[in-house]
Amino acid sequence: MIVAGVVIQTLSGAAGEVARSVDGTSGLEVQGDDGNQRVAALWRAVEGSTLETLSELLVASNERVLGVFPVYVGDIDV
Amino acid sequence: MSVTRRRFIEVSAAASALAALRGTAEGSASLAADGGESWVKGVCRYCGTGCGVYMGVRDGSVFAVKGDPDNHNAGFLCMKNFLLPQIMSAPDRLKHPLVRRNGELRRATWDEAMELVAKRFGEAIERRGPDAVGFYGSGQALTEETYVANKLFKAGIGTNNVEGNPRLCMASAVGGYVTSYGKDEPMGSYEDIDHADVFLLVGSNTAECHPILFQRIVRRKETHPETKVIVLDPRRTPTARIADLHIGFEPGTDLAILNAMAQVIVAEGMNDPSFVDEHVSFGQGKAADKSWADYEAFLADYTPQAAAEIAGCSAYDIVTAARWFGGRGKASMSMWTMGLNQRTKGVWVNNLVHNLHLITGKIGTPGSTPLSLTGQPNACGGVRDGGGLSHLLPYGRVIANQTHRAQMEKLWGVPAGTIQPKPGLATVDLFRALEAGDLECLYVMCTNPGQSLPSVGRYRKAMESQGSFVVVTEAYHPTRTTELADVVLPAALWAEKEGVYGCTERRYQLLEQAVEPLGEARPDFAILAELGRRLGYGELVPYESTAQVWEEILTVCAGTPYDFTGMSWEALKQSHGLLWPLPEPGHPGTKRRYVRGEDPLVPSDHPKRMKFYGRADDRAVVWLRPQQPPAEVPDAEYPYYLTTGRVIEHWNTGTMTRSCKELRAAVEAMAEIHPGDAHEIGVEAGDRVKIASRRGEETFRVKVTESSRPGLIFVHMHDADRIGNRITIDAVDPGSKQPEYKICAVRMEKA
Repeated sequence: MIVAGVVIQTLSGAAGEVARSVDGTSGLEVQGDDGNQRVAALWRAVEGSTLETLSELLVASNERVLGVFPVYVGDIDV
Repeated sequence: MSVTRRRFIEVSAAASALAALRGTAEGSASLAADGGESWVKGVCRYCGTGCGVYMGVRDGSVFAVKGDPDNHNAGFLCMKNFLLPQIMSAPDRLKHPLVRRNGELRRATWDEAMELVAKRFGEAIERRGPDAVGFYGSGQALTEETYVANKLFKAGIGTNNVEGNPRLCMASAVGGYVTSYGKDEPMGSYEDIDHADVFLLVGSNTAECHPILFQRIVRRKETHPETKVIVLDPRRTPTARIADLHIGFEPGTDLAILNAMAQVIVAEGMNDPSFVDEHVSFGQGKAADKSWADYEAFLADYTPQAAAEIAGCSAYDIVTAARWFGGRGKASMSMWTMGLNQRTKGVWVNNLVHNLHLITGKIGTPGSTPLSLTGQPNACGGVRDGGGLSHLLPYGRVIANQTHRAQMEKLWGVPAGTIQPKPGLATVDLFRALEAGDLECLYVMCTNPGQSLPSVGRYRKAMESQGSFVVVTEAYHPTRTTELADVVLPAALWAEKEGVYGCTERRYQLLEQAVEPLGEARPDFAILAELGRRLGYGELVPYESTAQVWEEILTVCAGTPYDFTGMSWEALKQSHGLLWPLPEPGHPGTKRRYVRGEDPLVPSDHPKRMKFYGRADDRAVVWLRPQQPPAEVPDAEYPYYLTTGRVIEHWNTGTMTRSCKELRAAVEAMAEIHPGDAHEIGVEAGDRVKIASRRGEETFRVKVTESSRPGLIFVHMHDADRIGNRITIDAVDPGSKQPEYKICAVRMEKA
């Protein structure tokens, strides 16, 4: 199981809206946002590849999302 | 797995993310460990951005990674780092050698495998001479690994058939830098992003392919909202989401657009005559014998209206882009990657980007620089700088130069005349020689040509033919290359070995070893040294460690324009990356090359602001490069353009990704087509289309999207089950020998 701390970068002013729309989806748990264009979240999945692809889909499907940036990625099974 | 450890990871991850809202990811660094783990400094193993990481180790395994807050990435990582903790123990890791017997790859001992490799290479060399063998390496290998291969093959075996996959991704960028400035590699650094007022992103999907740099651009725009971002790309990619101006155009017509931008800059007096007078020459063809007047006359054909007609874009947009880029008092930074490089006019179009900086003088000052982006973590440090291509020798030296050969023969301790004076075969020619039977044995290290070569079908046949002998060192099996090999050797991966990576901005960093190699895997430098010993070149490659190799490299770079002799192993260990030139211990490194007062290789009393010392006259060259079409354009039989690219780097993890059933559809290579084209051939999203070129065909499901232009199909290159490179063209740039992956003509029909 991979647990990751991530920052979701959004368009200017879209952080709150994006935080509300992604919280609770696909194992993603919002921790807070900066009120402008960054959302902090915890994300869990069985495989790192799942998180990579979910991130890709998040960027592809949401014009307000500019990128997903992990800052800590841990494998709790090691 | 104890609850305490699970909780520790969750708290660390959450705290790091929250801390990162402040702009730098520093939270996890100060967290107390739960016991038993250590953190080892390293470098991300994926793209060429060179992000610093810390690898968390527990019980001999990597259990976590976190961004290095003291490196250029300020603690942030990109999506590919989700994979890092698990790639080390992936189910498809290769743990022991394999040798093909009776058509099947079967387990063998190291001794059996190496004996066979040495026997086949030795026999081929004895029977047909040294050019019967070759080496094909990688921008993912460590600097020391490429160095050992280069030395063994060029100074030992005696062949210049030493190539690497950077030929496929950045050779034209090299050609651009070398022809415009005399020496390879960018003069600027990432720090320039923090000072730029205008970004010109051309042929680069920065958001998806270099996300950390994209994030830095976003941050610049956040703190300086007046910053302008211009995106030149035939497709509207996620990078365009922050664009103030996106210019879409017909593939292959960007030479006209860039010349038209220069035309506007000159016509409206935004050029810098004093900079041009002091620092610039003009050239056409291969000779720098033209004048400013010649250049002005040349540009007369590229009015915005004329270029817009060629490119299928708006003349007004070209004028706007030129005015923003050339605006007085504004710092302008360009970035580009495969969209320019993977072209038969790749060097030329690189030259045209450099021209914009040179005629405006927007170069060598904070925020003004042309910065080509790199696709692999050590394409720059290992292959470009280290001279791991068939026409190169280490650190700016070239095979064709007798003085350079003599220098390397002396440094390598081999008799004069050992290094052949004729360059070896560039990548496409190397594999064509394998196809023709002229090349008998090929050693492939850390790369996957069975999937990544253009027009790959013909070269796959060559690799698996009876007459050829292909040995592959790999961390994973099967790949689309190992499945064709005669011998597969298990290579140590990333955290299992140590050595130097050199990234886009001339930043060299030490990847420290964190864990032991899995199974019987060995570091590539050791495998190469073993091959050298078995071939009788043990004294040439006597290395026991990469640190020992690095010591030798420091003597080889000394006195060259790449001089980094101050980068001792210990200095690299202590630092978070060092930028060369760095010619003596304690030097801080060089953020802006060629600049008086910043570059230690420019005398402090040099009378001009810059000294382009790569060229004998210290002047950079503005080249007159006309618009010319790609090697293949649509016609009645093949009426569409196909372009390929990265959506995200799957690298060797494609197998893992595809093993996740619910996501299999999401990673499948799709044919992205414009709604008008979908209507014309009668398909909808999810239908299947067969795409065929003169070289091969493949079937894909359809994604209908406005991001594609009418007449343009995009397919990503990472799906091993649907190989787009069966279709791509293997025509190459005449200067850089880089293939034109980005453009070919295809037909498309409902499957």
